[in-house]
Amino acid sequence: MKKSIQLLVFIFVFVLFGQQTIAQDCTSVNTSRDIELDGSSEKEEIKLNVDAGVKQLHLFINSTISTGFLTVEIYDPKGKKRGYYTVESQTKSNAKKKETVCGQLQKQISDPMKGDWVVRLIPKNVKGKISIHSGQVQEKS
Amino acid sequence: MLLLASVSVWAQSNSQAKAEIRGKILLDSIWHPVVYISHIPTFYDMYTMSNNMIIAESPLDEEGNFHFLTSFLPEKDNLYRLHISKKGAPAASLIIGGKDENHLFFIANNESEIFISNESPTNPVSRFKIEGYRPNDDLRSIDDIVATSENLENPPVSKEFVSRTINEKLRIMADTSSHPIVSLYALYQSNFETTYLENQLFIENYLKKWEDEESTYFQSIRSRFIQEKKSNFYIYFIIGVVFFVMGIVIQQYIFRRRKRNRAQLQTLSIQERKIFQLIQSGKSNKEISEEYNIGLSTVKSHVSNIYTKLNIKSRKEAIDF
Repeated sequence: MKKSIQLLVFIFVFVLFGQQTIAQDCTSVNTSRDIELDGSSEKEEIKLNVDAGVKQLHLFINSTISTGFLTVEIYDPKGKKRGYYTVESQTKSNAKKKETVCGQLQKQISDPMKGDWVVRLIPKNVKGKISIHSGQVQEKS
Repeated sequence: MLLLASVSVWAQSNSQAKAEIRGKILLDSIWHPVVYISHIPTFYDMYTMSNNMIIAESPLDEEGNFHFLTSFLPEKDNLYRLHISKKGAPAASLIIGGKDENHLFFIANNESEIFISNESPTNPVSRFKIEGYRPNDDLRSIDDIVATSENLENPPVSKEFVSRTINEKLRIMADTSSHPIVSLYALYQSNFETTYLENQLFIENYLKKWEDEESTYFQSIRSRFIQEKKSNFYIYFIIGVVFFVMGIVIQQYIFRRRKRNRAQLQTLSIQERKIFQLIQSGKSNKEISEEYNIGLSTVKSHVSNIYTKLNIKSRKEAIDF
């Protein structure tokens, strides 16, 4: 019994200490952006600046549209396309029957290239919502 | 004979009845128990989602079984996407990446007998099997090769090197595969558009090899190259026109300058013209005075007049005149 209690105390202290160590070693920067489109066809670029020393870049893009045609593309700082998707809804804005189409892209990039990562939105008569979340995990020096 | 004919008809109808896409998919409670199949007309549409692309749906029974008859599919092989959607989300939902990725791709035709299954209900499509039709194994091999380059955790230089090696491997697969869709998929995944100039000869020979292939997959890839060639043609045409116009302008400038120079030369006296010729041949004032047996100061006076009349300032300008 005594040994079990000692073991539990040891595990508790170890876990607590471990968490503090991890918390001291890494910092995480998260950004979030919600965009609502109301029949828009204007291209938009969202830049995500990644500094040197960032170990992980997380990207989460979610879009739900009820009309139109939306392409979402991700480019690295060298301009190389690193992911994309297109969602398309054939319903006209004045149609009685509504349909929604949903697209989601999750990307985790280890040791991401330093510079501006770009999320490019190419809508065509889009009514819908887009949310872009990004997270950068950086090692503390 | 009658017996043989009826056996043959029975065998045919039996084989047609068997041709189906079946499967067993384990899903946890967040997923809607329905699978959807979409037709993917080109590789550029692999990550496009719309209700119009969905061609069939099948509910999952309690054990996760589903099936589609393939008789409505085209006779030739095509690319299809099987996907599931979360409860509360629309049927036309596409999730790319992460543990909730919700789709997989496969090749089938109207006689395909395919069985699709997964291993884990929590990560529904991360580990799946497609059995029954060989091209799908090759499709998976290509995806596995591409995944190795994306999951690397090495410094960027090494990543670039590995990426080049993988692209080379994919090009070899494209070159050696006898299945048109598999072969083209390998080429498509090899970043062929960004490395076009490096591998131009290979790509041109590749497209020539498959020139009889009329599927939408090949047409879409060919149209990209035609567009590129067209855009290259316009660039070369514009450069040609610019150089042509520049040539005309330069020629006009030289012609006018020569005409003006000739007119200016007419203003010189006979003696000045003779001295000017000697200046152009590189002779000094002293040499000119000795040649024409005139005083040095007279030569200097003539030279000064020549400079003024021709609007020049030095011997160098006189030589270049």
